[in-house]
Order: sequence, then structure tokens, then C-alpha cells
Amino acid sequence: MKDQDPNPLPAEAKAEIVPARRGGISWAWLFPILALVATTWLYWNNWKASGPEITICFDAAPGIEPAKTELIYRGVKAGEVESVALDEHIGKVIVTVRLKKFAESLARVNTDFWINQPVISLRDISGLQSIIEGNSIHARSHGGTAVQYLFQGLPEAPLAPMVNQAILLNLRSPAISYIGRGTPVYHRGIKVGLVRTKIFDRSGQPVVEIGVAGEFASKVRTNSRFWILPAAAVSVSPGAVSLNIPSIEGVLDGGIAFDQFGPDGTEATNGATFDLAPGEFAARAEGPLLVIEFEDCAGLRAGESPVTYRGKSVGLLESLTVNPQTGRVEASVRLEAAYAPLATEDSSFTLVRPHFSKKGLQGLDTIVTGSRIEFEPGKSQMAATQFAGHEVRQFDWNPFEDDAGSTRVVLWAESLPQLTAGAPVYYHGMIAGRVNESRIGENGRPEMVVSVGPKFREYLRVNSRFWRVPAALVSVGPGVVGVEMQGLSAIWQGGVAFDAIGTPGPVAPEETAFELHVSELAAAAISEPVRINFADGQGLLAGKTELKYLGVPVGIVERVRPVAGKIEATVRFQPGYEFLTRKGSGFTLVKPEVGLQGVKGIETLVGGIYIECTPGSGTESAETFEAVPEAMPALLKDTGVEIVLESPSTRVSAGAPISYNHTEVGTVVGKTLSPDGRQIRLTARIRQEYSSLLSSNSVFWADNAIEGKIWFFKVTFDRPELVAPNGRVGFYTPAGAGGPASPGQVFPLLAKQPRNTPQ
Amino acid sequence: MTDQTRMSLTKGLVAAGLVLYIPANVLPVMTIVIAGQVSDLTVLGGVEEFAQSGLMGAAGLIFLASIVVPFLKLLSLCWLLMLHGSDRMRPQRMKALRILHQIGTWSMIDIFLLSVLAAVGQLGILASVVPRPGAVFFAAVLLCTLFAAEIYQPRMIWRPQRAL
Repeated sequence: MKDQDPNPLPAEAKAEIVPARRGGISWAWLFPILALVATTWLYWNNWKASGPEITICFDAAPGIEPAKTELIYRGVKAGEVESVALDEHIGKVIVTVRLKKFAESLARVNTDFWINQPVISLRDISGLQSIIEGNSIHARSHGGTAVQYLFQGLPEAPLAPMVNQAILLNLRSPAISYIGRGTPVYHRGIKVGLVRTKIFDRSGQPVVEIGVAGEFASKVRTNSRFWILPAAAVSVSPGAVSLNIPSIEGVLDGGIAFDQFGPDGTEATNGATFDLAPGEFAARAEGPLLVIEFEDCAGLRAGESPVTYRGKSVGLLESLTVNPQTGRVEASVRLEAAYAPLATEDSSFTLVRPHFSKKGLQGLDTIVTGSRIEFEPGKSQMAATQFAGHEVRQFDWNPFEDDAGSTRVVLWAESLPQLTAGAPVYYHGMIAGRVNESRIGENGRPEMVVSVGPKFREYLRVNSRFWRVPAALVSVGPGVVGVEMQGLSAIWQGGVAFDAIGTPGPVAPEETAFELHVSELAAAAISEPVRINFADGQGLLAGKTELKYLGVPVGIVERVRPVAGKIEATVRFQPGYEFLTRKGSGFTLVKPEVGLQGVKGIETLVGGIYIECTPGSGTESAETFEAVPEAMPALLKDTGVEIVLESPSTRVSAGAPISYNHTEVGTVVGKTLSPDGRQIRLTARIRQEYSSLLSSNSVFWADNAIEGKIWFFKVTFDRPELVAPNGRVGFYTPAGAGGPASPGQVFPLLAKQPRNTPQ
Repeated sequence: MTDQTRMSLTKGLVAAGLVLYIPANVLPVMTIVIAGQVSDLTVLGGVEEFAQSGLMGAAGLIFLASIVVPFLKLLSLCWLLMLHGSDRMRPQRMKALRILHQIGTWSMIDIFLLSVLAAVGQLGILASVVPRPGAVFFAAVLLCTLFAAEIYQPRMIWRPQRAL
């Protein structure tokens, strides 16, 4: 048997077989204990983090879901909705919220709760995240101390979700148009509060309730005046049109502003009532009501027409009524507090309206701003409230009547501008006369009769030129868009201007006929006509397209017509620029050009295309020129070393830049075939300052490739038209031997950049 | 490992599995954020979600694989342990253990799916899937049953009681 060991162990090694000890706890029970500990710890942790349960009553609880909707306080999740139910009368929604431990202090009196919903209005966009995340309940704490668990939810989000230390004020106004909840309230340009509601008071008058933030509450005084800020105020005065926008949010619905104009009153109390004036002037005008009688009130507008004192606005016309007994108009005005004492017995009020007379125009500003009442204080000390108004008598001015001493001249044009009688005639910016009438002349041409005042008689010469002044001149240059207005009267109709160009001739006699040019530039261009032939005359406009020399307008295109497959533009220059008609002068049409190399002629997008001139070196002048293709003006100015590049085939053509280490050092100026026709010869010009780079061992290559990386693959495009319109030439001179290159030396043009040159 | 240690280990693991089974089903397994809508899903919640969207097949599958099967595994292990040492229903017990082994191969599929979902379902603000503590408990339940079924050897069914 196996038990009978052939090599019995020593007696001490013999062990007794003992049955396994039973009843001991196995370490395997560690698993369930660990599981229990983990579970308990998790539950205990959860329980520890949860705070008290609060109940909030809402009128409606859209989008509130148990176990999903969160309670947000200062942007942090402070609790979760546990249940949503209706009360027994189904009149309220009862929402129970389990607060987090750290948000326990929200369960205090005066805490506000509201449902955050997306609000998208012109004024504000709020609760945007609720579109994505669903509605949530928001809270605002007011630092109450007493514990409370039942709350009444706010029907809508408060205007200031963080703080609520505001004073409330009521503003009365007969009409409150565009003001609404959330409209800003400004004090001296600073936003200090918001409109809360628009309601009716007990007497049925609309009242705006505004809240002014606590820190600004002291700015509201008992004598503060409130007024409505219009959405955008445009004020027009002679020489200035200003657009006044309170702020971007004010653009949409204006605002309310307040300030006090008299001495400082005492601090206003919470709930105080004020009047809301329709505008700042109305708010400023707080003196006693003055009544002025006028014969008629044409042009006056209640609530808008100002009372001025030496041009300064000091009061406002409040209302206009017609007295049925006297048949006269009674204008009620109020003056600003500071000027109210000046209204004494012998003060005078004059109605100012637009007024034309032989001597000139008066009250011209009132055409735009409306009539006004000019106030002149008296010397008496006796205050008065009733006044008889004066009127500046309206003058019957006949524009067709001859002004004494003025000279009448006739202007003719193919088509006359729309100028009415009375439009101004300018001489060096001064009004020298006016347009009298427009008519069809004897030869069927439209004519315009203008009269020039006696003072300006001697400046009207036989060689004077007349041109139209547009209503608003817009001058455009690279980086400049300027608007120039020729006086107020020209805003709506423009005028006519004249000047003697060149040496003044004898004084023009009466009834001289002049041509009316379309613009000053056209009038000033008096040189002999020059014809320029363009291969492509796209964009050329007779009377519009300008000629520029170094960016300065020097002439104008007078006529454009196709001649033998080309476009012939007849141009004239201003005096002093005749040198541009010398033989060899270059003319290039400048158009906007967008390429990888950059953007050129961008100003022409706004200002229109123009012709760039380059003076020639010849001595005698020519009458006909061939336009130079683009990019040539630069070459024409360049001087430098000319060399010849030879290549069996290349796409590089005239105008291609030559660059040395990414710097442009010259240009290809010509492309010809070699005498045997096998080679293409490019004439290249290296600029003088870079001619030292040129050496007899210089290398040239057609640099037409665009290199890019797609992922980690290098990609090369050989598309010269992408690189530059005419291709590009690279050039490098290796260090070392090589004598200076001689002008006219022939170099081979390699098809690719050699490897031993810097990239 | 003696059969005795095997036995007590199996008992301990089954007990731990039973304890962990509760939080595994009560706690959310994952948080799905779809277009900002945050939803915590428990295993049962997931089944409900599928059922509500009309995918009854998927709902049934998940219910079976994630709730019924682990529960049945725990139950049958308990049954095996209860009858341990007796000579009753030995062939049935044998069969049950075999089924347990076979199912065990697939039991981690839920966790695997969840980890794939959490890794793939990261679509920025559009959608994201975040595993939650419930998944750990769920995995722990599965591990417990898996090891218990592995450790409890078929021969222990056939062993006479006195040997223990």
C-alpha cells in the first residue's frame, strides 16, 4: 500500500491528522463587508450634501421637471426639484426643491425665486442657456436671517438678478410711447436704473415705474426733472448734422434721463412721483408759463419749437391755442429756470421763420429746424406772463426780378442740373449770386440764367468756367472717404460755382454764354485735347474718369469712343500739367486687382477707375498716345541694369517681378524670340540699387511654383497665374568667384529653382 | 485552494454581490447630455427610456441582460450554495453551473458597451456620455458573480457532505 513508506520518516516528523477547524470566520467575508462600507459611505455622503427641502408656489411652472430641473443661485447649482404638483384648488403649482447643504442659507425670508425662461426682446436676450438646458429655477438672496421653507415664486425674472437695493419712483406722463420694461434710465449718461412697469395710476394716467439702483439713489433729488431720451436724436444746424444716440440699447427704444437744473434739492424718497417730460428742453424749461400772442403760428410745433435767446435755446413752446374772441394764436412757453426771471414786461418775443430777401437769406436754419421764437429780455424788473409777439414780416421775393447792379449771364449744358431759382452761385466758396431761371435757348439748348452780384462782377471773366456743385461732395482717396457739404442751402439742391482758370481774361459782359461743366475738374481741364488709345476701355466714363499724376487728379476724360478696335479716350489736363502730354508719356488704366501678390488699386472700388500718368522724356508734345498695359508705370520709372534671360520655353512674360531672396529687385520688361526662334528672350531690368547683386555667375529661374503642405505631404503647384499675373523670376548669386555682369549679358533662365540656392 | 476556501470565497462574493446589487440599480449608471438636456440614467431608467421611444426590443434586451440575468445569477448561486453538500437535484445544479459559466463570458458586455459609449459619445456640446458611480457598482456585481461562479467548482456539487 502506499501508506507503507519504504523510507519511514523519523518519529518527530510524523504529524497527526487533525480535522480542519470549523466555525472560524473566513477572510472571504471581507468582500461583503467592503461592499457594505462602500454603499453606506456613498449614501451617507449623498445625505450629508443635501440640505433642507423648500417649497415654492408658482402661478405657472413651465418646463419644470422633478429630478431634472435645477435651482441656480449665482450661476451655481444649489438644489434640485424633487416634485411638482398642483395645489388642491389647482390655482398654484407647488414645487419642492431639495437644497444642497452649502445653499442652506437660501431658505431664509425674502429670498426670491423665479423661473428662468429664454427672453428674447429687442432690448435684451436673457436666459439663453435655458433654451439648451431647459428652464431652471433661479434664486436671489436678500440676506434674510429668519429661516423659511415656504416661498412665493416671482412671476417673471427680476431686472437685476443679483442685487435689489433699488428705490422705486413713479413718473407721470400724458403719453408714454415706446418706453417699456427694461428701458434704461440714465443720469448724466450713466445707466443708473431700469423701467420696471408701465401702469395706470388711480386717475387713469399712465405712470412709469422705474427702479434706480441703490448706489445711485442719492442722485435723485426732489427737484430732479425726468425726460424721455429719443431712440436717436438727429440735430441739424447750419454746417452740422449730428446724430446723437444715447447707447446701443437706447437705439432701439430710447431711454429715460434725469438731472436737476436748479439748485440741489433734498434726496428723493422711495416711491416719489415725478413728471416725465417729452424731451430734454421740455425738462429744462420749468419756469412759469408765459403766454405770447401771434397772428399766425405757421411753422411752430407745440412741444418742439424752441425759444431762443441770441441763438441759444432757453425754453420750449408747450402748447398753441387759438383764442376764438381775438382770432389770434396764443403760444404758451416755458423758459429754463435760469432765464425765467428775464421775462419781464418789456421783453419781446419774435417769431423767426425762413426769410428770403434781396439782401440774402435769413433764418435759413429754420428751414430744417423749424420756426423758433426769439426772446429778447427787457430792462424792466416787473415780471410778466402775457406778451404780444412780433413777427419778422415775410418778404415777397421774386427770384425772376433783376437784382440791381448784378450781371446776368447764361449757362448752357447738354443737360442742366435740377436747380431751382434761388440756388446759390459760388465764387471761391462765397455766394456770389443766384440762379434766376432755366429755359430753352434759341438753338434748342437748355440754358440757365444766373445773376452775379456787383461785388463779384469783376471776377467774372470771359474765360471763366462754370461747374456744378453737387449737393454733397464725397471725396475718396486711398484710405479717405470724406464728406464735404457746401453749406446748408446746398444740402438739398447744390449750386453752381465759377472761377477763372488760367490767366484771367477781360471782364465778361452782360449776357455772356458759358458752358456749365459737370464738375470742377472738368471745368479746370482746359488743355488741348489728347487722345489715348486703350486696348480695353472697360470702366472709362466720359466726364467722370480722372487722370492722376502721382495720385493727384490732373485731368479728366472728356469723351470715350471706339476707334478701329480700340477705345479712344479724349482727355484734357488742368493748366500746369501740360508736361504730361510730352512724347513718351505713359498712361495706364488703374483698376482694382486682387491676386495672391496683394491687392492693388483698391481705392478704385470706391472712387472708380482712373488713368495713371507718367511723364515722358521727350521735348515736344504729342496728340495721340497708346495706353500702357498694367504694371508698366512702375517699370517706366525704373532705371537699372538691363540683362537678357534666355529659356527654351517659359510662361514668364513682361511685368513679372524678379526677386532675390524674396525681395523684389527688378522686373521683366520685354519678351521676344531669339533670332533663330528657338529661345525666348526676356529683357530684365534689375534696379540700380540692387545691381551689385548681379554677377556673371548669377543664376535665374522661373519661380512659378506655389508650395504648400497638405498634412505632411509637400504639394507644389506650377501655376504662374496664381503666383503673379505674369509669372515670377527668382535670382541668386552664389558667393565666390564671378566678375561683375555687364549690361545686356545673357543668362539662361532655369525652369526650376536650383538646389544649391536658399529657399 | 482547498474546497473549503472555495466555498467560503463563493459565499462571500455572493453576499457582496447581493449588497452591491442595490446601489447598482438605484444609482445612475451614466449621465447622457444630448443638446444640453442632462439626464441621469439608472439601468432601469435606461430600459424605460428605450421603451418610451418605442424600441421595445432594445428595452427588453437591456432589461434581460442588465437586470434579470445578474439577478438570476445571484439567485442561482444562492441556490447552489444552499443545496451545497446535499445530494438533491445534482444534475440540475450541474446544468445551472454550466449555464452560469456560459453566461459569465458575456456578463461584462454592459460595462463594455458603456465604456465604448463614453469614449465615442463625446460630441462636445451636442452630446456626451459620462459614466457615473452606478456603473462601478454594476461592474462590481458582475465581477462578484463571475468569480463566484468560477470559484465554485462542479466537483463540489458531487462531493459528499462529510468531506467538508
